[in-house]
Amino acid sequence: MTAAVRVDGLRKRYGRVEVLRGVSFSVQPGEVVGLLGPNGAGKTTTLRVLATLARPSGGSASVWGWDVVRHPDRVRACVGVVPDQAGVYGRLSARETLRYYGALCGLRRAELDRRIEQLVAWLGMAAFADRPAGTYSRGMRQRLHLARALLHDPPVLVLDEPTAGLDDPTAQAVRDRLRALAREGRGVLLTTHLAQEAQRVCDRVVVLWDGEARAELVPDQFARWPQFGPDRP
Amino acid sequence: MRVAWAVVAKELVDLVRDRRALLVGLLLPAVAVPAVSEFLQANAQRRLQTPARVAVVGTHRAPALLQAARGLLEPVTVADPLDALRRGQVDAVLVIPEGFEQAARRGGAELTLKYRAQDPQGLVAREKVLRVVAEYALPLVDRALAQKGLSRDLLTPVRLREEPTGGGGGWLGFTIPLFVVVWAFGGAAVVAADVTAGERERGTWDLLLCSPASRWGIVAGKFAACSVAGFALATAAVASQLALSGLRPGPSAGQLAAVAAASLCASWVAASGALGLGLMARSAREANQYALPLYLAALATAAAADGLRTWPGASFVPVLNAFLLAQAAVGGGLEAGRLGAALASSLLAAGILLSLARHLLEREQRGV
Repeated sequence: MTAAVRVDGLRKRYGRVEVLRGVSFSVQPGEVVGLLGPNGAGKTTTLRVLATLARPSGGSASVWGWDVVRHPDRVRACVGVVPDQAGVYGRLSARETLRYYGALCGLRRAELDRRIEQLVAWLGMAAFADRPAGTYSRGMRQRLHLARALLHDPPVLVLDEPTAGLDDPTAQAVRDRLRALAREGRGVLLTTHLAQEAQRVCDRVVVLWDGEARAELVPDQFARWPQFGPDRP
Repeated sequence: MRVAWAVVAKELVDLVRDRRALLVGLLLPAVAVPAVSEFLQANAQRRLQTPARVAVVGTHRAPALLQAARGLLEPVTVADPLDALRRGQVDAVLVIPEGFEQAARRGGAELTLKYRAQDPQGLVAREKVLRVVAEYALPLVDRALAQKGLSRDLLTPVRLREEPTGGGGGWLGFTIPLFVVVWAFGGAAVVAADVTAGERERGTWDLLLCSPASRWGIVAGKFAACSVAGFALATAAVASQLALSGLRPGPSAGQLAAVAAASLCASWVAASGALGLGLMARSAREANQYALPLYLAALATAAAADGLRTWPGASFVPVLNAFLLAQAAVGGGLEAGRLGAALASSLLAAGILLSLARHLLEREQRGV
């Protein structure tokens, strides 16, 4: 079976600083995998490589079987990305934003409208979907980003700290949606620096430390890594 | 193509909804600058039509001269003429010596004019005094020649008959081409900084880059949005200038179409250049700083246009061709060949600059 994400000996260098030093892991369809590590461990860089926003210095990375360097267009078509601290178009509403990204993804108008209504309902955005996004709370913005990432129905999702800064009910709603997406057969890769957050949503966790994958854990093993955050299990 | 349409539509909606920026950044200069230009021109006209304020020393020594000065000079009485000149209370000081009229009748009379050589008011006063002196001297010359049985024609064996024709455009022949270039660059550069580096600052740039949209589509859409902004601003500035000038009869449809074509040419080049600079910048402020030399280069090209007008290659030089095209449209002498050359060469230059912009976009993704 084609892995949703496969990373093999991934290296990334910014000038003289090596941020990733041979990271390897994979994500299977239907699985939620977390990249767990402290700030500066290389989580975001790994996600940027998978989102084709950065080119690896060595090793390889593929999404749904497509190599990120050789087939970036194919990769973009099958991955939905939610970057950390992503902005919104403040003067466009959620519906207008989604229509814009849908057009960028090449979706036809009728299909796009149907998809937008589905996502607005599924993510509970109906109450604010026609308001300018500049007025949204962080939780509303995060739901908009999730909707945008899912718009072209990608089989793979990569999310950078998807619940960071959200209140508990909103964070739980996002986790529930991610689990539901994995149950549909999508591969979900997310980053977090909190072990408890990883335990709540992930099937498996790859521990990144100083640019290296130090371990792969299942939820009941998370307690062995108590150094991640004050809310360790 | 769909991607480009989506990008340009989104950028224009975003631009139009930013009412404050639209008003301050786009509409206000389009109205205020032509108004200032019109005010300056009216001021220059007024200066020429109003009598120059001249302190005359020895008024009683040349009443006939002062008679000839009516309407051109306004004699002013001051206690200290030189001090008044220094302080700008008068435009010039005319000193009439003792026995001036007798000396003038004999020939060899001399007047002294003091004026500030760096002051436009002083230079205008000088011109007016020269006219007064000529008008005063002419009957004396005629009388002296008549006494000797000679005609004035002997002194002026060659005469110049002036037959002015239309064309040239006057003040508008300079301001309209200038506005076409300046505002096309101004409008395009502001929007280019916002849709590239501005997006990066707002955190939406990565979302755009990780979408499956073609890179050409993104670049083309952003280029179109910047071009529309440059074209709209240049058009608004020209329309405002024409409305303020009260030109009668107004320009013909052909003239307006040619000015619009010149605005398009300038907008294409400005948009593609500013887009590339915006892609290199990390912030909108940096992008605006990068755009400043581009803007100055456009201004310098416009300033050099008069000297390059007859150069055969001028129609193929981006920006210069837009300036000359607008000038020809306003002042007459528009040729289809010049129009075609300007459109084709501007499109070609924009195409080359857009290829560079796309290369920068891809390099950014490769290099980061």
